[in-house]
Amino acid sequence: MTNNIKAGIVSYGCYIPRYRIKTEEIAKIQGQDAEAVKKSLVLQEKSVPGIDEDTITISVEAARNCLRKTNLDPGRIDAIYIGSESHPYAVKPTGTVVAKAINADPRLTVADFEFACKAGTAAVQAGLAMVKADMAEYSLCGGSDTAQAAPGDPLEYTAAAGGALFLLGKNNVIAEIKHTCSYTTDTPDFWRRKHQKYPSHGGLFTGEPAYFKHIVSSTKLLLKETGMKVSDFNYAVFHQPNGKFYLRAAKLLGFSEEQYKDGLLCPLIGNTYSGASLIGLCNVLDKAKPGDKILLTSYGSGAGSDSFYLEVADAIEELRKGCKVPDVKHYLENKKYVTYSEMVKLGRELHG
Amino acid sequence: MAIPRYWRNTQHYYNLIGSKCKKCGRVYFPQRSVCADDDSAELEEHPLSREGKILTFTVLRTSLSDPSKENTDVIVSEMPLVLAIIELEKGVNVTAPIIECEPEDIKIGSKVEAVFRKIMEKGEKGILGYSYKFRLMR
Repeated sequence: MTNNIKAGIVSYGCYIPRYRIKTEEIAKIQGQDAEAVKKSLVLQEKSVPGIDEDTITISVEAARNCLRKTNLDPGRIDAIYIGSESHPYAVKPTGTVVAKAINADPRLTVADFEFACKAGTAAVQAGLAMVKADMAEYSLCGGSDTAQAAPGDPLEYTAAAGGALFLLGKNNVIAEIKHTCSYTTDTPDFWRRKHQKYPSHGGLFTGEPAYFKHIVSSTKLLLKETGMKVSDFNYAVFHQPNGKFYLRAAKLLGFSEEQYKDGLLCPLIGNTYSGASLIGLCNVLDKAKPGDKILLTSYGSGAGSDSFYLEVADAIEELRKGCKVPDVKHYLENKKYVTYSEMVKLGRELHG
Repeated sequence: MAIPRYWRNTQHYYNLIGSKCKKCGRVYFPQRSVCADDDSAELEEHPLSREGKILTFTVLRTSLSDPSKENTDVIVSEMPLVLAIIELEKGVNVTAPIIECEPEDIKIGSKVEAVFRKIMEKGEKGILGYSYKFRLMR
């Protein structure tokens, strides 16, 4: 699923809402042992969107952070693809608002993507293909979510909000996407039926035949197709529905803590669904040096995984020079804790 | 707010674009098509700074939301709501909510930056409205 045309990430930006809720606070309401939950999920807290935040506002903030790092005229963006499972409209693309909010030229194509938590990487693959096919000089793509969880559901501990967008092109590339491949099957591990407010899931079924099978198969496929070894990579990032799954997948594949630690943010912000692996990639790009090799594998229920092999280029140093755009660390540090009832209020569930 | 009225204003709601008189240089926000000083119709779009300082503010503690969410515009806002007049550049002020803070954190002269947030839901089935709000610079 790739060719020899060089293209990749020209800039990137992320956004994580300011509010956080601690695992202890949710465990208190669910009547569970907080320490046991924290240990079981490898999770301390999660992000909570503000009352006026949704996938559109998160995408706009991430897009603006992405573009503020470059001097690129937004009029040169020919495609905007945003993946989410919480697009505010069922009919009216999130990308249309993002395009106007970044002053893009209407001479562009926009589409929203859906594939559970891997909608963002699916959007990146499509945006990359547009650039490689010369159908777009630049594409802006990625994923954002304000994840939903029914009260009392185990997902309530992890369902979080955040997003990351990437400007893809052929010039001034800071990280070349050298290869991408996918692994997709029909696996009913997690779903949301039409008109339903909250998703449903198959409990323990979401592990072995779903998350682990697809993450491992897709990553092994990428290694086979590129001839790379696990030890060739400086960084590895995986989808992170919780900290435990991420760590187990990384270890199953043979990655060391040094390789996977910077991509793991779930213990601090929860599972940001379509944003999860991509915000992890942003954190890696905030730290990576030219020549570093990065592996990323997403996972989306239903089910599928997208894998990417990226190599960091010299231009990343230039992008960082004098950069005042908030990085992942900024968002991790600027937080305000809320109680369970405040979280309910922010979700406006009090008004029924 | 009627859909056409919201839609016509999205450029200034989303991007804080004002207008500037080519003759005298006066900047307007929201945009004007004729300069109030010299009657010139030659005005150009003028992007405003996304950072500014608070000139004055008030705190609202009565909910603006319509819990019934029926037929009316629901103002999407957290209570208590801090409304401030913000100077973006000399002579150009905007009135907007200051979010993600406690009212006691805000002082006249505080520096703020624009963020993109939802401001309105037209009932449960209608359009969603987005615009600028501000937060304290950190």
